[in-house]
Amino acid sequence: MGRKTLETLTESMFYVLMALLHRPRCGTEISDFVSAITQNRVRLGPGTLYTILAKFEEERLIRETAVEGRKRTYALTDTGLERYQEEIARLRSCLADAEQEARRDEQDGTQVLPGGCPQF
Amino acid sequence: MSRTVRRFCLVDALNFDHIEGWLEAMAQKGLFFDHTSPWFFHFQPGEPRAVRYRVEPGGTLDNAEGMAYCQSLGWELAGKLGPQLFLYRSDDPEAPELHTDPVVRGYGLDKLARQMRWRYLVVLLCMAGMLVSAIWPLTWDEPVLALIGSSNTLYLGLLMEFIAIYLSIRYFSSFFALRRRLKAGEGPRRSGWRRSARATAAALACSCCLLVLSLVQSAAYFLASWESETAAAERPFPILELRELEDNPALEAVPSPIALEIFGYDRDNSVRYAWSLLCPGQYEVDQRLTDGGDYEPRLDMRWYRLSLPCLASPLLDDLISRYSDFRYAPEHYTVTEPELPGFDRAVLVQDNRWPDQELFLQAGNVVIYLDYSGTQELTGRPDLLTELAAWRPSAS
Repeated sequence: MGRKTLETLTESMFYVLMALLHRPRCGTEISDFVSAITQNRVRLGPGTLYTILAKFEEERLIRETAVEGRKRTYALTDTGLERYQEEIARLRSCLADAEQEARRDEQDGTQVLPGGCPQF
Repeated sequence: MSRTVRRFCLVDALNFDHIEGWLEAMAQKGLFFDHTSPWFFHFQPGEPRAVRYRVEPGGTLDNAEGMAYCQSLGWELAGKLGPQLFLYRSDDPEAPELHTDPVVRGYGLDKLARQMRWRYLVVLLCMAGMLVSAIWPLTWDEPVLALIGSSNTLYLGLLMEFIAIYLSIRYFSSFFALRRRLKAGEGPRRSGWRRSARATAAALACSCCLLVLSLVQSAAYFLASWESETAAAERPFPILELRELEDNPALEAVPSPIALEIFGYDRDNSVRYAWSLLCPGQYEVDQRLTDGGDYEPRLDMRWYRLSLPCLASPLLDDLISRYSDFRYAPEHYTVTEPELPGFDRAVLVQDNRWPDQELFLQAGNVVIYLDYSGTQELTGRPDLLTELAAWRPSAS
């Protein structure tokens, strides 16, 4: 089932917001930042990157701050910052749930196999 | 100017996965996208190789920075597939994918989807309007008579209309299905283009066949139809001889001077033949005789041999509806359903005021309507009726 507009941020979207957290960046800088911080685990294709930028601008999560020749620089808006923090909270909650579940497994002495079936 | 090769695109242009898959398959055959024209895709021939094509809606990559970034990664703009669709191409197998997140790609289609929704609605409304106008004649009192009408290609047009609606719905719905899939995080399904192309080819082939049939039917109507005086007819036709029914060989036809002046022949004693795909044998035979005195018996006949026997009974109902007035003034008519050997149905309508009888008969795929004015009983000579129903051109 399709999701509502930006109800949940995908990994790519989350890292684009992160890239703009401390300073405005242009498209290629955002892409480089994401590759560097994730050690190339997350790579943004140009289509994905510019679609995210267009969508975020439309949703007012970011705004264009400067245009120099071909280069367009974007900065996070207050709404974008709020959305980023909401996402952080959601991810922390997910992690907390996972850690709690892991602790329970340790107490019960169960071991979760890659296939997902616990082994006693 | 270099030579290009034209190919008709059977894949829905709004189904990006399928268009990309088709273009990549063409590249594998050594045909590389060059441009589009209203009916064709044009390709540059070359050495077959793997090339990646990606369709992208306007408003994302089509800016100077996006283009430059694409080029730096090994992608270049190959052309446009319409006012709002851009086609990118990469010959470098190492170049990163244009899209690395299907959900984001799905979001990228939102703007286009808003426009498409309106177009879809307009197209569907137009189609619905055309469909209603095509079906409208079938809602008249005599739909089978409308269908078998000699020059009528209505049902063929209707089938073509259904095919057009199917293609239009598939064209638009494939776009919305793609967007839904992408937003659900599903990856591309480029290999599906073959099935899509086969379905389109089958639908277009059916349309072409129907178009040819329509033209054949129209031509056959003009070429095959004929009319003549009964006495002078050179071709065989079914007839229930009024003289035999009256058991009076002395009865003779006296042409009306007015009919002679208007039609150039004795229209009161004439036969007309017409052909249609659903009813290849349609005869109208009129007879009006006189004994030289006051007695002038008349017998008009409509004789139909249908291609589809299932239409026979509804046709009989249509004939009753068209030619008989008993439903408007039932008190003036006596309606019976006599048992006639060899006939599936027989309906006799007798006028209580005048010596008029109407007989509606069905035997298999043959339907007959007889309108008789005279002193005899129409059902009094069942042998003549059986002979009439059994008539075939080759047996004459």
